[in-house]
Amino acid sequence: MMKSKLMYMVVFALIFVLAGCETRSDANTLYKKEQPLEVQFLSKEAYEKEGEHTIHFKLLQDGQSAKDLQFTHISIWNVDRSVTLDMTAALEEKDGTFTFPFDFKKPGLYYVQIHAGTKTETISPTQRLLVGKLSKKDIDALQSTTPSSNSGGGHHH
Amino acid sequence: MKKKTTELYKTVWRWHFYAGIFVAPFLIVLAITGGTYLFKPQIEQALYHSYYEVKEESTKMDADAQVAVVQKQYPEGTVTSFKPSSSPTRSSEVGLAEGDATYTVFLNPYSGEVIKKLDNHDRIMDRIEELHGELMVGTWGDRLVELVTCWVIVLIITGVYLWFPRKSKKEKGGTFLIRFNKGERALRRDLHAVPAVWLTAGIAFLIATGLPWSGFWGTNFQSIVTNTGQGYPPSIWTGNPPDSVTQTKDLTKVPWAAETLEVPKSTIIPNYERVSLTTIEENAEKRGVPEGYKIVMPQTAEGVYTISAFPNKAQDEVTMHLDQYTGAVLTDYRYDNYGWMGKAIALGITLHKGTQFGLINQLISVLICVGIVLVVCSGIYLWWKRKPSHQLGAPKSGSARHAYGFYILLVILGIIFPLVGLSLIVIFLLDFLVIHRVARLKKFFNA
Repeated sequence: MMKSKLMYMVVFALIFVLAGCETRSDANTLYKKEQPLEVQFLSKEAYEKEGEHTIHFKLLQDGQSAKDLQFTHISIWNVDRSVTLDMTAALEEKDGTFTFPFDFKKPGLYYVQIHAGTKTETISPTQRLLVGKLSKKDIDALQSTTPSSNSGGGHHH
Repeated sequence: MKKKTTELYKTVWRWHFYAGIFVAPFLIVLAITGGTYLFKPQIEQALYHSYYEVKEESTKMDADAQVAVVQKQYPEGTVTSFKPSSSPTRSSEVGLAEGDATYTVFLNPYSGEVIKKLDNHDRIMDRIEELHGELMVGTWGDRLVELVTCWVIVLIITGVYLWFPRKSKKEKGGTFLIRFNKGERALRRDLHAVPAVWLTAGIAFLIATGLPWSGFWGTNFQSIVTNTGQGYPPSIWTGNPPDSVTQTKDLTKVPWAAETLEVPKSTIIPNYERVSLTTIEENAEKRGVPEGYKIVMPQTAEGVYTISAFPNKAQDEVTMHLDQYTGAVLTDYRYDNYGWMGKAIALGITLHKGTQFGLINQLISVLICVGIVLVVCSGIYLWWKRKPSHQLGAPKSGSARHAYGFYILLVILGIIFPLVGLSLIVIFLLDFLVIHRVARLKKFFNA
């Protein structure tokens, strides 16, 4: 009788103990938090025709406009690198918003890389931009898993 | 009082006997595999030094170029990780998955020459680790090893009780010293009990440091501790890594582009390139991540790059997650960012593996492993010489009403270690429904 009572206790206690053993989805809030820089491209990711278009983007940190930026540069190149822009400072508007007008002379796939940083954080996202008609080379590049790199120059921070 | 003590002694002895019979073969496997695994660095250096060593040259290829070499040579495979070369004369390592198999490709970082493509299944120390952790049978093996480990706790508690010097004993013989001149029976008993008591702290330490690793108790324990904010931060042991924070758009959804691209409907082409490995390496260096780390590639469109390093000393551990589209550092967890329980567990693991304090750590741990084998063998020998023929030789249990405290202790252990709890239920049911009802079994088990 004693043994069976003890066994019931074990069963109930096991159910109780095992019920609360998942890692909380917000457990990360209990530990060290980073404040990564984020980029939001505000301009379109595709233009139907070549010509002059303005790149428009916003930099955020912890949900707010990024402050204390040490540098914000932009590079642009297309697949065959017949159109390139070396690292150039983007134009700051207000509240962490930046613009850069550029003449996309030829149709095709372009890469627009932002290189921005504070004293402690650096980001370098590269957006793909479709301008007008895509060639076969553009399509192959889009479907490739190898990132396109900006090896065209400009110093890195 | 004397009758109560004697009855309790018999009950405890019976449980010690059955726990010992159950754990003995597994404990030998754990001790031998564990003792071998302690010397993993030396063994792997001896086996693989020709894959590790390269001649130093002036310029290394960048990380993306190295990975491109491997991808080109093995186009059917998927690169899953990259471990940069950690010294001027060390190769880099590329993790490759081909079908169900995984490989490590050792690469000369200067010339891009593939030195060796090693099937990870052929890595003997990984197989030994698998045997140690899960008896090479996956989840069931992991649970069995955990069950055995928990029952060793019962073995230690009951063993210490059985060993404990009774009031009449004044000399040290039979407690801390083996009696060689008190006859064969005393010698057989001492060869088991005396080394066992000397090793108690070491065995208990190995259990305490190994259990947080286990698949059931360990995972649940880690979750509970992480949830308190005093354990490992999430994603290192339990919990998920963050997703990349960059909001992507799907270029195949651009109407006129989709017609041109001609990709299957399920294909997504994000409007962001994945950040290069070279950028990830640069970010790691900026953050002071020590050499010897590995970069794991994102597995999904929302996934992250993971930089991880679990070197010899717990204090040098790093786990970082980086947005795959921007390279932004989303988490950067070092040992100093663990809660106090996380630090204790991390230190326990490196001590358990013998890496924290180098050779002295390895030697002390291997002595404990050798001692475990001796204690198990002497226990088996003790039983074999004592047991009657045609019976198991289990000590008869004492009266249950003199052992309430002991049974309550077992229940508590069964709650703290649920697999022990489950096995206690199985034992109770087997005892009640089968053994006590079949005369032959009742006699065999001395029930």
